[in-house]
Amino acid sequence: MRTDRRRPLAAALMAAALVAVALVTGELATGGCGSESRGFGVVPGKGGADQSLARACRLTERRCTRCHPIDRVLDAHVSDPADWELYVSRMRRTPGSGIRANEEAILVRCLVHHSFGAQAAR
Amino acid sequence: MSPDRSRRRLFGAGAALVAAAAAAALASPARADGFSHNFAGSVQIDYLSVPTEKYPARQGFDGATVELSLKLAMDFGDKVSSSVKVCVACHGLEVGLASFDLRVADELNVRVGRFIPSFGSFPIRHDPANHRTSDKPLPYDMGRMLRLREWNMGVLPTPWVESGVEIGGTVFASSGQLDYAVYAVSGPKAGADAADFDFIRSRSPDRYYIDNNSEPSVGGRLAGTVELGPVSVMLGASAMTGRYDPDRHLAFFIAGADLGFQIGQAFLRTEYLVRRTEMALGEDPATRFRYGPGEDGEVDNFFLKDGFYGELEVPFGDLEALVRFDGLRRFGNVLASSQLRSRSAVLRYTAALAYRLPGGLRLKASAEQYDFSDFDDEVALHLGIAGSF
Repeated sequence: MRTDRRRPLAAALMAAALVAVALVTGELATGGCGSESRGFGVVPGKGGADQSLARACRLTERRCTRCHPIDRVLDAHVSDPADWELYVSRMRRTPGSGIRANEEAILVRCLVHHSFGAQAAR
Repeated sequence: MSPDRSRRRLFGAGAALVAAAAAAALASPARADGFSHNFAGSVQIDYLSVPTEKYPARQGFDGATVELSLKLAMDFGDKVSSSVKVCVACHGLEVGLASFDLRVADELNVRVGRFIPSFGSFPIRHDPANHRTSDKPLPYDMGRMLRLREWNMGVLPTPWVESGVEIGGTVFASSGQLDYAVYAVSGPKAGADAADFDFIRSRSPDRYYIDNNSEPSVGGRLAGTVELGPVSVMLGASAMTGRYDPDRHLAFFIAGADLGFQIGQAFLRTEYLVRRTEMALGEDPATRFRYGPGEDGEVDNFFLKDGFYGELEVPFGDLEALVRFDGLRRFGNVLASSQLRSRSAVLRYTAALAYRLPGGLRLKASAEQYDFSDFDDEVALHLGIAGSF
């Protein structure tokens, strides 16, 4: 602002922003937004997953990403399916988490499926 | 009623409510699963380069910096939990969280101890593993911005850790929720002749995490979320007020508003903060400050500092892109030694990429263009790795 020199980087950044917006628009228009390419990648009819599990995982992604990236869930080292119950219960009690009491079991089902497979999630 | 008495009565009422909530929580039947605990943490190693500046260390913390946090959470049944978190960043080892949560219901939770009071939307994502850039938006900057000393960082540096009590909760509706929080905390601190907050004094364990003026600062937050199909709209407002000097002469008031949209895992976030801070004029304002009296013959005893950011975060598989536009402004007199003027501003343009690596790690890269009103413009480049466990 104080100098008169051009700011090519700022222009490049704004151009990048426009490209990002365009990509987002395209992504949303196709209904994607990373729901399958990123996150739990649950597809009905594949790997024992059904429609309700797919819905459960979409809800899980929505709730978890409110406070932290989904990576923290995807990369979590969980050794027992019961641990997910404790984690989800703790997250639900975190002020502002947005997780309702009746959603705990839904989220746990998705997370157990992610960590231990379809059999454990039934 | 004097303001002092009013504040003490408010604090007394809060203490009584805490005691009642504790009794209710402890009297409620705890879940039979007993105690459980969880250990977690995060690490970020970042390298900052400023190619437009020959001596970047004069402007900020360039080169390599490490941020580390370790957290232990303990659940005592379904109603009571405790968390302790320690952090290491540019300022050494400090306690970022040491609190008990007494949870009566979704609608009523009482937190006591040392914690981050509810203010704004960004602080919940302040951990480096929870946001996509190596640094924070300027209104919440805590030492990563260039010219941090001249600007004395952001409006409310985050994580802003306080000792006190917070009462909050969530009220769920069919298609959304309402979150509220009110708190009384020790508040920001400074010396008797202060012209702004002393952030080191406010957070340093050398001061034993105790109050400096026998008077709490109070604040609150009200936020709502509406879910419209695949879109979530988040709207919030926050405020905090108190006095920050030992003699209780210097008042401050901080207000904030935030608006965010979530579509899938894409986020558009905006936030605005403003702080009015009173300054000690001293015995000779003419020599203490750069500017003299105004048209009314009086020297203003306060300044205004505000800041904003807007950012778009979009995932593309394992890659995430973020663009951000943020800024700070300061209005009011400055100390004679300050390099700022009575009206100063900085704008920043940021483009960032984060790539997910195996093992829960994430590679972060960002480029920032600083547009200063009082200094030469600068370019800052960050490259870092962050991970959580």
